[in-house]
Amino acid sequence: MGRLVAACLAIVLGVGFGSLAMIVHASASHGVDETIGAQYKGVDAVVYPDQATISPADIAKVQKLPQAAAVVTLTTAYMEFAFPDLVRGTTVPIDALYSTPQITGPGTSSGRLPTATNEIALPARTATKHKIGVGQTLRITSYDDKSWTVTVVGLLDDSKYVGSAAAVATPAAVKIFDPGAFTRGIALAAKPGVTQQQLADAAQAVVASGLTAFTGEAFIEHEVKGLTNGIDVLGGVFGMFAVIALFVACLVIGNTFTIVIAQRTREMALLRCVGASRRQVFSSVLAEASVVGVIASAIGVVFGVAVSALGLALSREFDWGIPPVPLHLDLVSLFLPLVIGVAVTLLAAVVPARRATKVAPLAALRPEAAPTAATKAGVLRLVLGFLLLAGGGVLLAVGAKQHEVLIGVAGGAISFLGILAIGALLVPALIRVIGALPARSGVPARIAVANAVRNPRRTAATTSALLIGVTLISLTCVGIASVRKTFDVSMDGQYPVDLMVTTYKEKMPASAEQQLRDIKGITQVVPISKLMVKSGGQELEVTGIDAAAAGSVIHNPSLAAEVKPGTALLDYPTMRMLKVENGSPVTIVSGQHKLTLTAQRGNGLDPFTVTSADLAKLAPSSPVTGFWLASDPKADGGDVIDAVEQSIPTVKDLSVQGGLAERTSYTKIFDVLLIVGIGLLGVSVLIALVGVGNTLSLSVLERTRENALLRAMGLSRGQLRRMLAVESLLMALVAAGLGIVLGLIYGWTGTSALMGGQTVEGGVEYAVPGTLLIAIGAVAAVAGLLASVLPARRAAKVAPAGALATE
Amino acid sequence: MSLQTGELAAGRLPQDGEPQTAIRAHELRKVYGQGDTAVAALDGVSVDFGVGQFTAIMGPSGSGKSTLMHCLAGLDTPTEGQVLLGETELTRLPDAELTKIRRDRVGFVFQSFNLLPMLTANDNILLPLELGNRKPDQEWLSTLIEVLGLGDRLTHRPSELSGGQQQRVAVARALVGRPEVVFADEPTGNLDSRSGAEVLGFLRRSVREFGQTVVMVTHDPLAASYADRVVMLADGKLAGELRQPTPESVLDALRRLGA
Repeated sequence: MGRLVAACLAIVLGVGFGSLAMIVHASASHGVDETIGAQYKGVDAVVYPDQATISPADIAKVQKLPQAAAVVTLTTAYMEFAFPDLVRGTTVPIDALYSTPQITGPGTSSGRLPTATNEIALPARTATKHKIGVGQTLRITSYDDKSWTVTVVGLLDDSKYVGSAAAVATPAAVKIFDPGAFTRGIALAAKPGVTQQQLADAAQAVVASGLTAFTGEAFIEHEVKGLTNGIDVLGGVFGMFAVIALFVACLVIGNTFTIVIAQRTREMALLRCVGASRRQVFSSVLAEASVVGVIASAIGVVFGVAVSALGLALSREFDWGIPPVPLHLDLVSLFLPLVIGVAVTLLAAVVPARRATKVAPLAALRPEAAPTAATKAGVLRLVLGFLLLAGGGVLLAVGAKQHEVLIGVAGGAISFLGILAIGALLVPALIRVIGALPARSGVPARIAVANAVRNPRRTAATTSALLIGVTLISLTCVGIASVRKTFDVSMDGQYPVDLMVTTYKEKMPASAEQQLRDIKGITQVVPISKLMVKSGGQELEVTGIDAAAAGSVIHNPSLAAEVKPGTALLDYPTMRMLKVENGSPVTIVSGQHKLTLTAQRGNGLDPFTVTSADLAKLAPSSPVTGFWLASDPKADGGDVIDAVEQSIPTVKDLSVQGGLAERTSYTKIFDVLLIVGIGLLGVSVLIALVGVGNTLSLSVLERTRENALLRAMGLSRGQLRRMLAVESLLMALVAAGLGIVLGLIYGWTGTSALMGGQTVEGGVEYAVPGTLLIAIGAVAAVAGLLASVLPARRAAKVAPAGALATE
Repeated sequence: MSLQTGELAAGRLPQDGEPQTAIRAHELRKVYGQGDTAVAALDGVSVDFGVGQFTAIMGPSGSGKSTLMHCLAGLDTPTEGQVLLGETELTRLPDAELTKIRRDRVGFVFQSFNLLPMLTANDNILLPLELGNRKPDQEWLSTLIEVLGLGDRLTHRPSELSGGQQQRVAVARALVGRPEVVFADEPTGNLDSRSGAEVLGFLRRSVREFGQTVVMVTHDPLAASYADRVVMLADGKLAGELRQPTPESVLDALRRLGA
């Protein structure tokens, strides 16, 4: 059993990971069910605007339904709130409160719900953020510039909301704030004795076609679906990674059983000698595998439950921006990983078990042969491998060229299977190449290289497990880096300037430029002036920027070079409006001044951009009306935008635009994707390293006599340990090197397949995330060394005499 | 008899009269197991082995002859007593020092599994030297290869060699570093009689012509008759010795031991 510990560990990790994924998914879904259920407590039917809007007539008809005990119209007004901590207001939705005790609605965490039209209740988190307490008054403004002063009478319990919740006011107040507020739906409570279905049917019968009447339960389900789609996708991704981890575990287990059975050849032969049938030998191996599988899988499930509980508890403890999710265990997420774990173990043991049946009874009588030289890789397998590699490669190329993701993925998977199949040829060859260098350092290293390649199949199987993990991690890194670079380049085309700050009718204070420069994360500030001019009977706004400074804030160098005297950069709509084309002259007039420039297409800047020198020819001293800013790519974009929006308090209306917001949001997404991907795939790498250590310790067992001979010849303990470290390092480095190369190929072709169709002219950027890839290689190398520690210790402990004694 | 200081390296012909001592065991005890199950494999053995002598250690199975050799060679540590190789006491040395001694000052020929399967014959011969980063004496190496008839076998791996050839490679490896003592543990046990005779002939020749000290463990009277002296062991104790043995005299001595 001791020899199977590593196999057990592989199963425990794989199954634990799988059950973790399932439990977290189940808990999150369950949490959403509960939250939404609470939100619509007491609602028996909902009229929902599917393809038509809800008219007052519909509301009136529903209100007259005899089956309804209470009817609530769900409306929302979007108001600008002047929070005292902000320079300029921010928009908060205000829901109309349910005016009936039958339908509960939101609860308060402190204070009470509003009862008068000058009262509102704020979500607790929003209130905390802006430091508002119960009893405070706030100024709110509607979109058509009407203002009211309202008192905050209560804070709403929004602890279970994702994102920010809405404030509430009485229905009458919402009607005052926004008389034409959109009706999201009509909620009904049934009279006693009326079922939800009867109520929904009755409502459906009276409302206009295009509106749907759900029962309360169906509506909750409908809402839950909208939210859990995201969770399901995430669960799917988790599940996929769990499958990869289990596949790697399968390789490790199979390898372990193969070695263990090879070492028990005489035992098996003895069994056959005393009359065991092939079937009995086969069953005995499978029985052992199932015991291992059940025990390890059970430990894995326990491990998964423990880690999920811990993770969910931590997420409650620390605010990770997600609502707290209580642990929810269901039978499926407990037993499915268990069953899969046992099945995978059995599956992995079938091939070694079949091999065990082929042991001839005579083998028991022969003296133990010296460890077999090498099992040659099967020719059939190699041919198949090369065919898969070639076919997969062609598909991969087609997928990349035609931007067909599915073809690309199929090609990648098929070619990777090909690589795994020819592993018994490829891996030893690579080990010999890499091993040439350490082999020069002396005999121990030379023996290490020879040991690493003497059983090509075993070495290939061991490195395959690691190769899968490293390839996938590299692929993720390269893919994300390339997609990101592609995005960056296309963003530079669409939004060449990070932030554009402009006033409308106000003057920029003289200190504005310095204020912006003082914001952390802002690297460049270039003032601009805007001027209303006429051109061909059209009135338009011209932006002037200093030609020399423009390059420091415009990310697209070729576009920045076009900002030169005599040239006007026009966006497409302006070109259409003025009926000019690239290179044709365009004349603009301001008062008595007139200027003719050459029109150039310039995307992403203002509609009509010229140099400030040209602008001065029209209006000699036009005031600064805004700034273009460049930001530090390492700074948190959200913080920078917030700071810029809150700057220059003397200006009432400050417009802040530009590419930074979008850049920030996708940068965050890519960062999260990268971390999640690496973390999840890391589990597979961990399992694979367990496998490397395992193969090594079994090989050490097999080579006990050989190592004893070496020790007798004068190999020191340190040299023996180093010898095994080199062997392990070679396997890890080959897996890492091959994995990184494959990751680059798959990452680039994948990016082309995925992004090629999305960008103009299929232009895709190929990135080499050098630091990350080097880090992957370094981690693999260190881990390889670590994997050799225990086997090497065991090997060094063996006394040379004991192992040499003839049996 | 006085302890020899200085170089007792091979290559020196034995001097007239009483031979100098290459290796000496003093009151060696080796106990396996503990308490009731304790078995003394060696029970107070004191014996000297002369420089340039070919000594055979004989005895029935379980007499402790292999254990004696392992303790003499620094492969195993005795429970009590001392082993002196030249003037170095092996019994107190830590593993690292013992390793160095095995590498530089003694050579081994085992019964089977003498060679590393992944190295060529040549690499196997040079293994102990390379482990100690020593350069082989090319002249000596070619002499050995010629004498042992291995010239056309050097690039072969052990699996491509016959049993006798493998054992000759092992002899070459044991001799190439000119060790103070070569230990041979049943070197002919796995060979047919002709190959066995060849290997024993080489060992004797190395003693006669090159002044090598050889200690051989065997249970084969014919093999023992190649030696200059036979030391008998029974139940972990010395049980007499023979000088200039013949197969018949060895067989007689064994019969007297009741083997």
